[in-house]
Formats: sequence, structure tokens, C-alpha cells
Amino acid sequence: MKFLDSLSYRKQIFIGFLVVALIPLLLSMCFSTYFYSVVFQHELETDGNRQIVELNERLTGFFDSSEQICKLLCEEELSAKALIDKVNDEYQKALYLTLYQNSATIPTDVLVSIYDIGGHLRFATSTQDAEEILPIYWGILGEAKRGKNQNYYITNSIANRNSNVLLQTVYTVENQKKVRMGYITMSLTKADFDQLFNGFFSQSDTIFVTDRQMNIIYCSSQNYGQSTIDMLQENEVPNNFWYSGAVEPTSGYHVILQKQSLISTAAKQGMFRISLFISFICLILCVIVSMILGKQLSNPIDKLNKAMELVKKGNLSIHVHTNQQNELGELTNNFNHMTEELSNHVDNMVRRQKDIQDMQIQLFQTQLNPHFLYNTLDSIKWSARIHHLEDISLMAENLAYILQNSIRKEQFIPLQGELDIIDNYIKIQQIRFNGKFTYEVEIPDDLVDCIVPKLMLQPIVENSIIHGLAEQEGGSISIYADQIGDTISINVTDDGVGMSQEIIDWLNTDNFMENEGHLGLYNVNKIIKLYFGRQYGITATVEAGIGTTVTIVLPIRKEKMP
Amino acid sequence: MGKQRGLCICIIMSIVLSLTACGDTGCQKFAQNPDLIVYTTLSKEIYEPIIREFENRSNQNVEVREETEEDIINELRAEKDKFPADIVFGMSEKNTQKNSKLFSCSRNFSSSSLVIIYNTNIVTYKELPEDFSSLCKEEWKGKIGFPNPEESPLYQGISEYVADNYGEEWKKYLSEFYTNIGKYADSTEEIVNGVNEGKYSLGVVTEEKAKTLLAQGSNVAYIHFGKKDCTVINTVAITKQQQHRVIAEDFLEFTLCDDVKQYLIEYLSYLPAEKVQRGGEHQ
Repeated sequence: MKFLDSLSYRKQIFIGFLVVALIPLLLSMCFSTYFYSVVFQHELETDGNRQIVELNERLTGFFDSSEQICKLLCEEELSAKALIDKVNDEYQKALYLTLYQNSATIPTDVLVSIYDIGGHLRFATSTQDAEEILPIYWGILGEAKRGKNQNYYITNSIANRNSNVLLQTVYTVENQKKVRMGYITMSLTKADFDQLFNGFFSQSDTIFVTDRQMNIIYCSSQNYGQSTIDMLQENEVPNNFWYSGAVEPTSGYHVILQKQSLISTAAKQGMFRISLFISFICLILCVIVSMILGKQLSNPIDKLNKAMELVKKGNLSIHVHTNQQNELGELTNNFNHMTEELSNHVDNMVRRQKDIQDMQIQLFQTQLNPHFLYNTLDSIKWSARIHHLEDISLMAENLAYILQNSIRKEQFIPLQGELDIIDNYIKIQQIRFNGKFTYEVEIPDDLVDCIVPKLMLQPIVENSIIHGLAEQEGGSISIYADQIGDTISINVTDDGVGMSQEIIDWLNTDNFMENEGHLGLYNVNKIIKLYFGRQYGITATVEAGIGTTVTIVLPIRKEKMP
Repeated sequence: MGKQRGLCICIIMSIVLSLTACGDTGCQKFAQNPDLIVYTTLSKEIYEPIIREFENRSNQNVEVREETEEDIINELRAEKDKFPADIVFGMSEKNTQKNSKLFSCSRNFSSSSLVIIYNTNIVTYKELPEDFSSLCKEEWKGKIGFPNPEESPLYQGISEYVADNYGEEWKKYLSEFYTNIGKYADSTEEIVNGVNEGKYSLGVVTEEKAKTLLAQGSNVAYIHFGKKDCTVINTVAITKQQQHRVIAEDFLEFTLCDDVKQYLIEYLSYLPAEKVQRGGEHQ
């Protein structure tokens, strides 16, 4: 499996095709070839074994009939007559009749000869083929002469000059006192054997008859001979043939049947070649189909992979085109949707950052030269002290404090620091307005260290003094804070003339726009929303008899902010 | 994982083995070990009736291998104890005596005088061969009936005869005779029939065969090789490394029995060795 995992998807598909297509194909071909081979071989063997039994019985039948006829000739004294008297037509007729009546299993042209005790021919069914004299010391007559316990012999000895004779049987003719008078021989040629076995084997088969020493006596085909028998003895059997043999009980000779295999080697080779060809076609199809499928699968994946590489490098404008309606098409569409969303999100982030930068630039623009102003204010403070102008001195001191804190780098400070700045600012405004309004602060101790935007409260308090209290005699400003869940709510309340409904609506709107007359409130509100989220910011309420309350809602954070 | 792979390999191997195991030819039924191994230089028409008769009488299985005398001697010398022959049948007497150390026992089996037969209708009186040297004349080129010299024991006898009777030029005569031989005959019968029917003008056969032809009234006459007869004596010998001593001795005894001698004379036109005086002068 590790090997497969290391391969490309295309190769895995190819191997998969090979496994599911080629291997079952080859196995089925092997099994079908094997199955047919076994079936045909079984059929061949069954048929061959039956044939060999029949052929063997046929040969035994001939030997038995031959012996019986010879016996009959002796019992009817036809043989003795031939040995003693001259053969006339009447005798020949009687002998032929006996042969005809008893020759059911004997070939019609078999040569029957009668020899006297000296081996001289006395009668033959065919005088042309018969030997005039046979040696009584050699071959068939020699065997009969030497024999003592039986009258009937079979031999393939070579004693006669007639090379057409393949096999001979001999029967000893004896008189009533068991004295040998002569011999009756039957000689079988190839034609006789052919006739004997005719109908018991097919043309494609070959029959061999051999003696006990496996010397060939008869072969039904001219294409084979002793060399085939020698090969059989050496166990060198041609592949195309199947052999079966039986021993003939009377003679001890071997009857061998050679049958051509029903599936020849050429046919097997043909089947093998066809299998190879089909396997090759299958292999080609596997390659083509796996290439097409692999391409269909791997191309979108490659495209997505390349697109992801571009996304990794920051190109979010990439769009992968697809026409597919399947899972890969869905995956590609989701990818496109994801990049679009990601692009929008980044755009928003950039825009927000840009807004913060713009705000900071605006803040910087509102600051003239803070250090120069601080030094100047410090000079004014000391000059006023010299000239005993206490109010001017105090105003300059307070303003210098405010300026000093405002030009610090930190954008976020603890709430207590912001309250100190407001305290200084209130002192300046009380000098200006001759102390006609009062001021109070009520902040729980656990909230004074909450981190808030610097100069957050100054525009709101300024707004209360300038627009709420300036036009009336007396008044009060109170600042108090409260914790609501994980947020801090800081309220600046004045009991002045009240804020116009237009301004209240402007402040309470979610998407409030820049208002020229209330730049301070706008900036504070925007900073809070940019830094903490749109759910935070400034709201305002006006209640009859109580006054105007501007509420700042922030998340409670006590750690230092950037 | 390893077990699964092993199982798969076992299944595939068993399928392959079962596929290759098909096809029983049944040939093992016919294998027979020979009871006697005979190496012979004789032609099949000579040795086959004798071997067949011996097999029938003794019921032994004799395996015959045809070789030239030279090959048999070389193999006997080279392989010594491993040479499989029990009997060497038909080797010339001269070679048998020369290599007597290789044999435990040997006897002269047959002898035959070689003669030149000719077709009386084809060969004119003027062309009539006089002796062996006539066979070397160019006019008979391709017209002489003779077995393949490389396989024929007759050629061995002729070689010895020429070497003994033609002085220093014997090699020249022998070479010219070799060149003059026509298409090699497969058997003596082919030579005899070939001369009788005019296929060959001349032929070399045993004197007994020639006599048989004359008795049959064929158009054939014969002359001797020269003043001295060309006699070929064949032996039968038991090798020293024989594996079947008893049967080999039976075979040797059989080849020397009266039946074989009679058969040699009557049917093979050969004489038993004792009937011929070796190198006897022709009267």
C-alpha cells in the first residue's frame, strides 16, 4: 500500500485497471484453456481406452479363430488329406467352405498354407504369396518343431523371403497317434492387419502391434514405425499424441494405440497467441481509459493546485474555470467562492486600516506643534505668575497638562488618566465661565484602570459646556461609569439646554456620517467603532428635567493596547 | 499483510502448477530395459533375422545399435568401463584380433568371398571386368552397386584385400574405387536387383549371393576379385565390460549353432566361418 501511495493518481488508476481487467481476463483464459484441455483429454482417454480394449480383443479373436480353424481342419482331416493326397477341386471347395464358415474374425485374404514335415508347401490359398519351402530349423516351423506341449504358435520370426508377411501362426498337424505330420500356417500381411482392425479406429489414429521385445510388427500408418516405438520406450513422447497400450494375452504382443490430441500443440499455441493478443488489446484499452480518466481527474486537481499556489503568493483574483458538474466541479466552484470571500475580506481589512491611518493623519493635522505650544504655555504660566495673573497661570498650567498628555504616543490610556485630563479641562472652563457650573465624577474603583481611547471624554464634556451650559446660569456636569456584563458604560450628563433631536438622531444612527459642527464627537465615535467594533460607540439621550446624557460603551480591557 | 501476500503467491503457484500438470501421455507403460545390448557393423538384412530368432527362442529383449567398426573401437577405447555394449557383432576378424584386449571372448561368426557381378546384357565382352582393378576404371563411374562405404563391413574387407594385393599403390586404387561407386545401395537385394534390372552395370556381393542369382537364371554373371579371393570374416565378441554375461554367452553360443550356420548359407548367402579357408586361392 505504501508503494501505491507513492504513485501518482494517474498511475494508481492504471494499476487499478490492470488489476480489475487484465488479471481476471488472463485467469479466465488460463482456466478455460485448462478446463477444455482436461475435458478433451478425459474424452480422448476414455475413447482411447475403449478402443484399445476392442483392438486387443480383435487380435485375440483372430488368434483364437485361427487356432479353432486349424483344429477344425485337423478334425475334419482336411489337412491330413492335403499332406497325403493330391489336392483336387473338391478338396479345395471343402477347405474353403470350412474357412469361410469359421472366419468371422479372420481377414478374408489371409494366406493359409499347409506344409509337410520337411517344410515343403502342400497347399496354399494363394500359391503366389506362399513360400515353396520353409526352414524347419528356423522361424515359425522351427518354433513349432521345437515345441512340445502345445500345437499352436505365433511368431514374427523372419524365415521366409516374402517380406510382406508380418506375422505368422502355425498349428502342428498330428495323426491319431500324435505323430507330427505337418503344419498349417496363417500369414498376415499389412493388408490383413488393416482389414482386421478396420472400423475400430479413426483415420487420425495409428495402431502399432509389437512383439514382446517391442519390435514393431504392424503399423497402420506409413508415417510411423520402429522409431516411434523406440521413442515410447525412451519416454520421449510427442506432445500432440496420447498413447495407450495393452498386452494381447495369447501372444504376449503389445497393441498400442496412438491418438492425436483433440487440442493439438498448434491449437494450444494459437489459443496462447489469441490470449496474448486480447491481453495486449486489454492493456492498450487500460492505458487509454486510465489516461482519459486520469486526465479528467488530475487536470482540475492540477488547476486547483496551481491556483492555490497563486493564492498562497497573495493573488486572490484567481478564478478557476470549470464546465464539470460533478464533485470536482463543485470543489472548483467552492474554491472560487472561497477566494472571492477572502478577497472581499482582505479589501475590507485594507479599507479599515486605511481609515485608521486617515484618522491618525487628521489627528496629527489638528495638532500644531505640540512641544512648541507646551513650551509657550509654560512661558505664559510663569509670566502670569510674575504679573500675579493667577487665573491665566492656572489656565496655562491646566492646558499644558492636557497638551502634554495629548501629545503622548499612547493612543489608549487608563480611564483614570482620561479623567485627569477632563479635570484639567474643567478647571480651565470653570475659570472661563466663573465657576457657574459644577462638576462631579463617580467611577467605581475597579473600573478606573480600564483602557480607553485617549481624549475620548474631552469632546463630549466640551460639547456639554459649550452647547448645553454656556447659554444658561448654573448647571452641572456629572461623569459616572458602570459595568454591564463585559462592557463599561461611561455616561456624561449635563442639565443644560439639551441636545437637539437632530444631533441625537445623528449620534444614535448605526452608520452615522461626518458632521461638520461635531467633528470631535464623530472622531471619538469612529475611533471606538474602528478599534472595538460596530456594536460599541456613542449614544445620546435627552430626558426632560434631567438633561442630556451621552453614553460611551466600550469593552472592558485592562491590558495595554497598541 | 505479509500473510495475505504469501497466500496470494501460493494460490497463483498452485494454479500455474495445476495448469502445467495436464496431459498424461501414458508413455511410461512402454518403457522396457534391454536384456542384452548388441553393437553391430552388419547390415540390417543380416543381423535382424538372427537377433529376432534369438529373441523368440530366449524370450530376451535385445537392443541393437548400428555403428561402424571404427566408431565401436574408438568408443570402446574411450569409454572403457562405461561402454554399454555386451556384444560386438560382425566386426572383422582383423580388427577383433587387433583389439583383443577389449573383449573377454570372441569367435569367428561368418565368412564370405566377395565377387563382382555384372549384367550380361549391358556389359560387353570387351568391357568385361578382369579383377578388382576393373572397378577403378573411369568408364564404370556411377555404375557400380555398392553400399555406403562408411557403413559397410564389405568395404573394410575390400580395403584389407587391396592393401595386401596392390603394393604401394593400394591407396590410389581404393580411392578410385570409392569415387566410382554410384548411388549407395541400401541393401544387398537392391544391388542384386539393380544389376539384374540394369540400374547398375556392376556390383559387389558375396559369392553365395551371386550363385543364388545364377541358379535363378538371372541376367547376371560374376568374377572373383583376383587370383586370390577377397574374403571377409566377421566375428562375434563379448566385451570385457558387459553387464549381462549369461545372456551374452547364450547369444554367442546361438550365433555359432547349426541352425544359424544353415540359415546363413540358405537365406543370407553367407558362409559360416569354418566353411571357408581364409585367403584361400581361387581355383
